[in-house]
Amino acid sequence: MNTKNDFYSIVEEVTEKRVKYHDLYEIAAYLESVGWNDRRAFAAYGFNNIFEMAQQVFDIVDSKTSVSTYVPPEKLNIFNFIINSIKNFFRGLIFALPMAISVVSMLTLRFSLWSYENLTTDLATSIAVGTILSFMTVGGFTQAIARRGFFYIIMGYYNMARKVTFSFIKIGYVTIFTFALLLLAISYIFSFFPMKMLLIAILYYIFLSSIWLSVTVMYILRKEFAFTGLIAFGIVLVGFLFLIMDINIIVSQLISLVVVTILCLLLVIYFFHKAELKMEKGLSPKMPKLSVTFYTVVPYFLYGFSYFTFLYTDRVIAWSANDSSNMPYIIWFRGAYELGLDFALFTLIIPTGVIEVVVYSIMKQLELQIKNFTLYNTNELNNLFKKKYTKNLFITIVVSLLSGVFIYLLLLYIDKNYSAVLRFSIAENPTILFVFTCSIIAYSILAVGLMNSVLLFSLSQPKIINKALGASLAINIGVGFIGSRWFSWMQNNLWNNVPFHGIEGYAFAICGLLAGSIYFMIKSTKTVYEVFDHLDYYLYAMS
Amino acid sequence: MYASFSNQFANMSKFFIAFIFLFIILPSLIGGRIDEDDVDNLAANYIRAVFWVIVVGYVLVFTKLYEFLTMFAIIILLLCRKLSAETKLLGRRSEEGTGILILRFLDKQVNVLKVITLKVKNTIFNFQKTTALSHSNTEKVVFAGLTFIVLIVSAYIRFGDAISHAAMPLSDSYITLDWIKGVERRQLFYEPEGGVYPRGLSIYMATIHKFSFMDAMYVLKYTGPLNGLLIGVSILYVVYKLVKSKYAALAAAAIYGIGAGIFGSEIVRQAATNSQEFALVFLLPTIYFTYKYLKERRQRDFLTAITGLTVMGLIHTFVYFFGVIAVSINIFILFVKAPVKNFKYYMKLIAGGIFSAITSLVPFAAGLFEGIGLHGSSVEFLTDIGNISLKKLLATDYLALVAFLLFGIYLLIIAKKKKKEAYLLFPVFLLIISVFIIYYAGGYLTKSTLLNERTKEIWALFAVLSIGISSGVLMSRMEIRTIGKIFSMGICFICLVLLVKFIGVKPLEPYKMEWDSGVEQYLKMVKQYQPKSWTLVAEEIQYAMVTGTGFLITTENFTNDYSAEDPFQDKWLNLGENIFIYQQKNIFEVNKSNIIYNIEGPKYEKMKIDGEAMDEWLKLYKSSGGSYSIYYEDQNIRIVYIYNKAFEDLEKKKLWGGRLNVFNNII
Repeated sequence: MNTKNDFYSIVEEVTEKRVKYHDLYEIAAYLESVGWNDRRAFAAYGFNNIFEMAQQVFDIVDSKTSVSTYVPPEKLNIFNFIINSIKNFFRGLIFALPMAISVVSMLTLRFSLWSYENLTTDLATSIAVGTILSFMTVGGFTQAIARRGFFYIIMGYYNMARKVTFSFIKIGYVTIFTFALLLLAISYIFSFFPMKMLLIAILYYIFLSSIWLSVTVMYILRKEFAFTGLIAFGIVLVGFLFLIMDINIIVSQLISLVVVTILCLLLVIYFFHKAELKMEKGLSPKMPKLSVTFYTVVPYFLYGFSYFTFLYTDRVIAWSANDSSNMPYIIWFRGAYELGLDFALFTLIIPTGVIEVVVYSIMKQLELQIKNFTLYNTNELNNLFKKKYTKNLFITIVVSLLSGVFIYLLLLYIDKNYSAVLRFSIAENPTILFVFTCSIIAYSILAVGLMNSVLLFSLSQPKIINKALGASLAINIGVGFIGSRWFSWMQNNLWNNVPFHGIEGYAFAICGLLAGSIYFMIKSTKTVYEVFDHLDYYLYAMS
Repeated sequence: MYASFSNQFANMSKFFIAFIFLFIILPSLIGGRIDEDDVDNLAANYIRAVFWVIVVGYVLVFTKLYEFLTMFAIIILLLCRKLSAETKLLGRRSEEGTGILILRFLDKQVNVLKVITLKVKNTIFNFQKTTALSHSNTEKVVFAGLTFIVLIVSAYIRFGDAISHAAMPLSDSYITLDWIKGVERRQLFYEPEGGVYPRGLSIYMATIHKFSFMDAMYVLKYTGPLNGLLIGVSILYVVYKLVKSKYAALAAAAIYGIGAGIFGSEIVRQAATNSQEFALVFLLPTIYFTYKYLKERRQRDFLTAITGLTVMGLIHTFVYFFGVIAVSINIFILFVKAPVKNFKYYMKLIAGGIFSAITSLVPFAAGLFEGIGLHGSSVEFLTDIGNISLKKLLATDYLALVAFLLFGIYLLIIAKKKKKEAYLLFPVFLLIISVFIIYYAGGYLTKSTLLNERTKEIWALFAVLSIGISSGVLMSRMEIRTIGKIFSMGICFICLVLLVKFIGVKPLEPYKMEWDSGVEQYLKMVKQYQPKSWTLVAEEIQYAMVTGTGFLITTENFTNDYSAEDPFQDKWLNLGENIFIYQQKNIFEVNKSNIIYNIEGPKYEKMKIDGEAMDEWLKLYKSSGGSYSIYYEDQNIRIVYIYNKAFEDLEKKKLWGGRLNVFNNII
């Protein structure tokens, strides 16, 4: 005869199958289905028949379960919602703070941590190449770190967040150094750049990449001000070395970059250490296999890489257009193009904040509203959120457009009335004006696409946004490449006094960014609507 | 130094890496395996790769998109397409397989180091196995050794000048180099020197240049000798494939490689780079693939043959003409043999021929559509009529004719027993006699200088082919037995020794148009100064060399247009930041016996006058307070350096394209 413990294991088995049973017959049916009968029930526990045994199980199961009445979901606390929205808005804006400091530094001091107004074109080319490569290489890692790091931080597992973050940073460094060595080796054989130019590009590439990696960690740890402070400190250090110690600007910047890199890494270690101290003691779950982590972050990694490539590809195309007789190397920095894009970048500041608010709003409402819907009224849920999305889409579009118009008018106003501040005329240089105008439109449109990306990320759907971004990148490259080359040729050979007269042909690479952004906005919006058409399914998949 | 080992090694490495990447590795990756025979596969892939490089080059130049990035993007797209096609072919399993492999690697279930070590060990083991096999087979080693010697000697003869002399060979080089740079400027045809002419070779070299990142002059200097060597290799390959005698094939390749000049051809052209020689690389392989198509009736060989024919059309119309003759003879034979049964095959060849003709003509039509005339000197040569008599035959011509007769006798002998072999080799027989007739009487009958002069190179190739085939049909029978093999080996060796003894092994020496030291200094400037930041004040001949890396202004224009007393005015911004004045103490003159002297001779007097004006200009410049330094000087030339002060403060404007006055005010 079996023991009491054995009997309880049967009860557990029954409750594992279902928590609440209608009556003893339902349990009897289950027991029979797993091999129990009268003879076995008697032999094992002394029950006369299976129903007696089922009755016993039913009594135990019934006494263990309790029924609670339906509680309607908590309502949205408007006050909290507004406070959180404002917080999110500013959190989005904080992103732009280092950029703002760099711009102010350039306008006042004429240098920043990695740029200088009076550079020669070859040095400017090296630094630009280093910067672009750093963004493209690290872009994927920053997304992966943000995704996995946040995941553990939200759950309070700072130790796991540290482990996964440093794993990515380690892989990031291996990638950076491997790529740098590869570049050196190829250049040594083929010398597509003079070694001096390439070495400078590589040094900037390595240090800037290191900084971006650390920045991401500070961002997930919500220490954005620390990074802003470090950038400011770096600029001060450059100033000290360059202006007071009279050290060459490139050397000054490289020293500052090294110092900032080291400080960044030390700070990251410190912040994690501090966070881990606050963590509940004894929480030390095992890290998932690297393959599992890899599998889950690959789409985010691809997004990061594609996004930064999308942002910088038009520069590479413009700077590689051999439209004049003065193109010495395969890529040659063109300041007019860079200036146009840099000024236009301000367009993204306000929309970035708004995107945070919009996505927070949709996700928060989704979190609350989902409890009001059952399996039978999923269509209502889908329609409700389609409407909410449309409303927020409209807000984002309006804000982005207004931001674009505002930046356009503001810069032209400053250019007209305070040209000494800018030192470069936007209006008088057709190339800068053309790039500036087109990129403002492109960035305004891109902001909408970014909102869609963040929303789809929140719904754990990175793969579908990657498809849209991949196609947009292809359009960006195709249109920009053909535009820059054909317009260059036409301007040199066919046109003299035509509408685009005065604009350098290479500047038409910006058409790629514009076309790519338009496609990205349309495709990503369509994708979001498709997701909201089956929101119930995606929510299920997300869980 | 130009001729130093390190310089030549570095540049040759770049050249051959680009060549191997573009024409061997990429075709095999993108096109895959075309033929189960390794050598046929390599040849077919090379022919197709050259075809696509030229066609894509034409399209990109025409659409103004010709540049490294476009070609790189096309390669990446094609590789992705190939990868995706292969993945589809293998199905989901391959995707999953790769994915799982990565995941296992991440979980340290796969030790990459171990896998690599194992692969390396296996490769070494296989190599040792093969080598061991070769060691046991002395005959194979001897053949490999003899082939190596033939190739090395042929290469030495052709590359010797390119390695030791900086100045470019023959006057044609200057035009050819200018055309390469024209392609890179996305200008197919232009006046006055860039008139309509097939640009296949220019596109081919421009593409190698784009992927080798070296000075275009090196590409020009190495491509010609490589083409000459490849013609020799094509003889080795085709003779072996037609008659299956490797020693006969090797002997023929040795005759061509060492002694092509004995057939009256201007072998010195193979030390320079010319379209005709490049087109000749494809002539024999095209004949072979047509032969193979008729033998095996497979589509892949048809496509390769027609591609080869089209490549010739895109490179050199005159050689293409001989390719057309070769294909036409095959069509004729097919028709005569069985007009109904062979209908499909000869019609295919006709269609292929038409395709090649149209493709070859498209660039001409495009050029003429742009309103640019045919290339002047080529048209002159094409239409030149002279009082031409029948060609005087050389002893070597008779030797080739004897060989040809033997070939004919062999065909008669096998006509009954080996009908198919005879029928397949008969078009080759007819082709050799056709080429001989054109060589011997073409000029006499048409009075065409072109036909009279340029057929020599074609005949040299077919004379060697004739010798190779006739000796091959005999030797292939012997090579079945060991003793026969030894005998063939001996014949081949004796042939090699005789060639070396009587003809000698010394590099070809094409005439030059300028001092070596001048070109060496140009290459030094390219290394020292940023491209496009300098201007060379020199004679017009150096334009092709300088354009694209720097700028050139003629001495005459410089002394006339740029004031020595009041230098560095705004106008000086049209010059580079660094100015080099090239002065000849002794004017370089080509030999008076050289036909080119008729054209160049009158220029030398003007050069002297320009040189004196330059001396005066420098004196005046110095007396006006100007400074210069001597960049280089030897017994023949002097190069003066002047920093162009008009460029001071311009860098910022160049960088930002901004309002310089505002900028300066702030500073």
